[in-house]
Amino acid sequence: MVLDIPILSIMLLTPAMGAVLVYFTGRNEETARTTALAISFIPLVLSVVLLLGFFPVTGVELRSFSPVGSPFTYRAYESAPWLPMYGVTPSGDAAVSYSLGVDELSAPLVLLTCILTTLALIINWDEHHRVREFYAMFLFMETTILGVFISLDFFLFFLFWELGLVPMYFIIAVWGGPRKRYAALKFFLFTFAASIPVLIGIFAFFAYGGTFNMVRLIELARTGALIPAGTVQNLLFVALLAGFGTKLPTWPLHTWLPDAHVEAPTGGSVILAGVLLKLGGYALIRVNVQMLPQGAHEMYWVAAILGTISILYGAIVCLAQDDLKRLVAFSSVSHMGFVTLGIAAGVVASGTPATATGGLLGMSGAIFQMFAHGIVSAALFMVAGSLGHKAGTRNISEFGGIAAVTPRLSTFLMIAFLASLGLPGLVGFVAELSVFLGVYAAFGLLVLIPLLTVVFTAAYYIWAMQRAIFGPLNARWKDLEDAHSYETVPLAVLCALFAIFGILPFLLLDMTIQWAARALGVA
Amino acid sequence: MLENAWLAWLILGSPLIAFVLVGVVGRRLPEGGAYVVVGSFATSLVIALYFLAQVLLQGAVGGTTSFSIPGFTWIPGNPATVTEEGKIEIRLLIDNLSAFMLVLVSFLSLLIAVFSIGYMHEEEGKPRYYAEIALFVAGMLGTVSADNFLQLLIFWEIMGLCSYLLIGFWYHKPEAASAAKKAFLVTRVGDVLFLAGILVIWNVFHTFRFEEIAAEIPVLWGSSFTPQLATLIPLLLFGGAVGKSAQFPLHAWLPDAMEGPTTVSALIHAATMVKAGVYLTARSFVFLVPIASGGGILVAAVPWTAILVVAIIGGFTAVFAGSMALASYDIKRVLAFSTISQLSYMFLGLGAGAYLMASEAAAGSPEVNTVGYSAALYHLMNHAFFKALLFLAAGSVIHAVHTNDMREMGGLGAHMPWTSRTMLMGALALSGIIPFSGFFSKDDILAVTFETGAANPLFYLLWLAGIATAFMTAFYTFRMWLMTFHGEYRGHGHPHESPLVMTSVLLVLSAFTLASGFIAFVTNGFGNFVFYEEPHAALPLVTPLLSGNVVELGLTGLSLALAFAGLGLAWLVYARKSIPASTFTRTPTRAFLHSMLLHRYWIDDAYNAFGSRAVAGFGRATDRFDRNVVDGIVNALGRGTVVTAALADRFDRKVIDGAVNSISLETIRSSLALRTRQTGQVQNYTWVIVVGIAVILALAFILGFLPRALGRP
Repeated sequence: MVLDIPILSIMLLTPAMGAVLVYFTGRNEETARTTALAISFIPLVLSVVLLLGFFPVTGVELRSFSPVGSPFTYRAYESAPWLPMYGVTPSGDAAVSYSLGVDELSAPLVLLTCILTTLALIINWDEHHRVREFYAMFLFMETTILGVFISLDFFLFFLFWELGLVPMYFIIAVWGGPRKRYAALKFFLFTFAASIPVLIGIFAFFAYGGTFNMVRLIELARTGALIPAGTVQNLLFVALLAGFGTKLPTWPLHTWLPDAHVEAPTGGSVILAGVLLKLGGYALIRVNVQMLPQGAHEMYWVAAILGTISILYGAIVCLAQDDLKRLVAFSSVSHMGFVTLGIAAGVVASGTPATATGGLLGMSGAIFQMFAHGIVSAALFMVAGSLGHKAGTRNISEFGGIAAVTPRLSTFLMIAFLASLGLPGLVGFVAELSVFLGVYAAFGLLVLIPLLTVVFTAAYYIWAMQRAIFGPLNARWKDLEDAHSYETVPLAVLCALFAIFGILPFLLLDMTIQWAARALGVA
Repeated sequence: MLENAWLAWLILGSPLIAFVLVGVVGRRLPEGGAYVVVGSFATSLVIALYFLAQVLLQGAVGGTTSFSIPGFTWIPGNPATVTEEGKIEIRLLIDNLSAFMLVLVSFLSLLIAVFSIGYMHEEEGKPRYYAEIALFVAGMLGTVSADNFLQLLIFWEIMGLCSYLLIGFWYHKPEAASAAKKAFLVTRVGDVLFLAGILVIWNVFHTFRFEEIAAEIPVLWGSSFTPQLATLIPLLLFGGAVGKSAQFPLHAWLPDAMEGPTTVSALIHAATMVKAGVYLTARSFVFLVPIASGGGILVAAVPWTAILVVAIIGGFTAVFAGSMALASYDIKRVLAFSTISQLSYMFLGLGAGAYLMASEAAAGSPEVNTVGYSAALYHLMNHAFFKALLFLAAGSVIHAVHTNDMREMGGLGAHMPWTSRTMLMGALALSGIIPFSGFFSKDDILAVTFETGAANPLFYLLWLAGIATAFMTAFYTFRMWLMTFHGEYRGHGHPHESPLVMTSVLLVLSAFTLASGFIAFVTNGFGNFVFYEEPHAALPLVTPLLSGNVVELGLTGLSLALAFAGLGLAWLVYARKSIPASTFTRTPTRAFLHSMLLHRYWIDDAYNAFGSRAVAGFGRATDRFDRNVVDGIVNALGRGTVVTAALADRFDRKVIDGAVNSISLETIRSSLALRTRQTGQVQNYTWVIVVGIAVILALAFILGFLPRALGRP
């Protein structure tokens, strides 16, 4: 079955138009919610179709495009000239084009975005403040995030990259907690400042490549015709690492994250941790690795060191957190460090034939970790948010023994904690294992340093569980409500996903390893 | 290839299905799903027996005795290589060792699940209990049938999770919650080492499979498999074993794990899970005593240091843990210390066995002497039976008197005749009294250790540790039995014998406690069941008695004499009372020693202090650093950005006002319509975005010429 429809344009437009629709028709809260939810299923279904398109077995065939001589294939590809320059650029491309497409790198993240948007809409079912604006914001945000993942033109890419800040700013600033203004402003300014190096990078690519078309830029970089190896590439690599690393976030550019999470409403945290952080990781691979290959080979150590520090620092700081959301936020810093470290390991190890296989696992592990952390952190924030909402506090020290009164929420909390601490059989373990295998391939026994996090992570989660849900029941919580159906459903879906991708990781790794082999030039 | 290979998946699939079933609808099932779980274990047992029979039959006719049962690719390999280098598969391996372990585990699980029907009858959380037990058994069966090291780790951790959950079964008790945490974290330290070993293995061999590794070692020896790695890999794996099998210095979790239900202690913390470390060390014989490509032992690649570490940890922990059992008043903790000590025997046997095997090969002997290996696994089996029996009998006692404290027991023999008699059988086996099973296997281990002393005198020292432990074991075991069943009842309840469903299990187990020692006679040596690399049908397991070897007979006599001495001393102190128990605390030195044993050498206190002060303190310090330093800088920068943004905003309004009308900007405008009054300030920043995009556009127009102007293509 060949699908000759512009799937990606539809995915991009549906939520945005849905946002308008919800805003104008959703005077009734119930209508706004159900409309938004119904609309969110359209991109979700399409994202599954998109993923099926990568497996010939399924018989789903998408429009695909592969530049001449390129190992890469972009599926569901659409391209139209948009803003022509004066005359035509030497390459024959319009300098700015409307180009969309997905490859093995972006497809899992597109799926993640669509799943989490739908679930975030459900988990906030009891929001009663400005409901239609709230739901419109989430749908609009879905458009901007999908836009970043599927744009194959830097102009579009940057447009969506920046536009994504707006709905998240509002979500925190309008529906957030007590310090929402501070947190929202910090989030906005911080990530906005990080756009400066990104912008500079895009200019540089344009200056050298004469096009904003990312497919073309990747091909140029692959053949060494984009930016000559040396200082420029190295500087750009570091600048873009800082830019994208803020979104990731990597140490020491992470401090906006805990504040933003603590103040954001539950659904906002879900999207923020689940998807927005992945923009940074995605861009790091797409741009730093694919367009600055020599720079990456020279400056990998910056990424490796920052990744390792993030991993350990995040985990150690977690030991001192009392607010569940802050705990999960810092654990995100720690877990996203695996993305940075995995990328560095992938680049280094793939350079030597003997360790190439390890390099592929490192890079695939980084991609897998983005997906894994996406679903796990979403569940973690859902539980933390729900508990906070019901109890009026999220402080671990104020709970105690609540497993007795909230068995469902406690079970979900435990499963999410276990998935996050890398229990084999659940999704996090696969990602961490792959990255560690890659790190050993690249750096040998230095892997023991980031490996320490396995103990720290277990320590803070297990300790938090002991204090919050086990032990004698604190009498204050004897009437604490357990999870509602609108909380149980998304959490159950996520827990099922932990197990599915934890037991059958090849579902994603098949794709990502193939892609990594092409991107890292392992043949 | 074996027919019906897929059935092997059902061995672990059956309890897994029970887990899901009981986990979901357990509340609606009779006895909280107990019968479903019992049925699933019985299914596993039947299939496991079928495979054991197959393996033994194949072995008897000289066929292949190792079957690899296909599963699926877990992590795909390098697509650029023909062999898919580095592919990680999930498969099952059924060979003598795993078939034997499968039968042992499923049989004991079945018995203990039946016992639970009586023991857990009154409990509220039965469905949770049975679901977790089923998942645990699936994990344990998966561990012992894993085809590769990674798969072993996966199931190993699943067992660890269940152990954590079941120790904390009564999670409302602070001690239980704390013990569960401790168990998880202490074993986690070992797991990290295991994981590190996994990382090294894959990067050296690009496979985790036992068979492939064994075949690759002679090929890669001297190139990527260096002498350093040859030592490092088994040591890291042994680190995992130390954690799981609660050996020094990661022993501290096991005594606390007794906070769980006694059936859990019997199943997980005596009969099965803690044996996984021994099993892992047995599997890592591919590294400890690597096989050369043409058969025989690759002596050059033998990691002597690693072998010594295994043996020394074993010998030391045996005495160390045994001594702590001497002073404990908690019936379950006595058994827990004893479990650690007995596991140490197994490690001692494996270590001595590996050393003997390698040193004989180094001396030019063509025969592969696997006696230590078989003896350790023989002891594993015997210990599983008699320790499960002891724990369940202790459970029966606790069920009757509602306390663990032996000072509140006494005289229970009259009230609980069956429990008392069956426990006596277990006690005799643990003490190593002939003809109970513990005697045979323990004596084998000690004999191997002594024999290895000829190659390295250090093993004479370890042998001394072994017989000292034998003396202590007999003493504390009978101290426990006598304090519980002998004399006058010191408690306040109304003890009664346990129901038939419990006592019948005790009877079955005591039959095995007696009989499992004779298996070696019937089958002409235990090597039929477990062997290393090739079958050794007639290992001289019980020969000292039969062959009349004077030296070995003397050793056997010595260890028996010491066991009787320990037993006799316990009798004098706790039954005849001709030596008052206060003798042990009379002088300051003795009191100090007693207190040291009671406080477990203060190691737990030290760990707690380290955990709560050092680690948590480090966390708090880092957190302060993050809030004050890192975030301080950020806030300062943030304020700077606000100022800059405001300035830029003013500039942009004046200069670019109204000049931006493109379609893309309309999109942004429509989004601006969503802004609310209370956040009107953000308008400014949104403008900054608009301006940013305008700037890109402007620069794009200019830069469109630049490359050409600069002469670039």
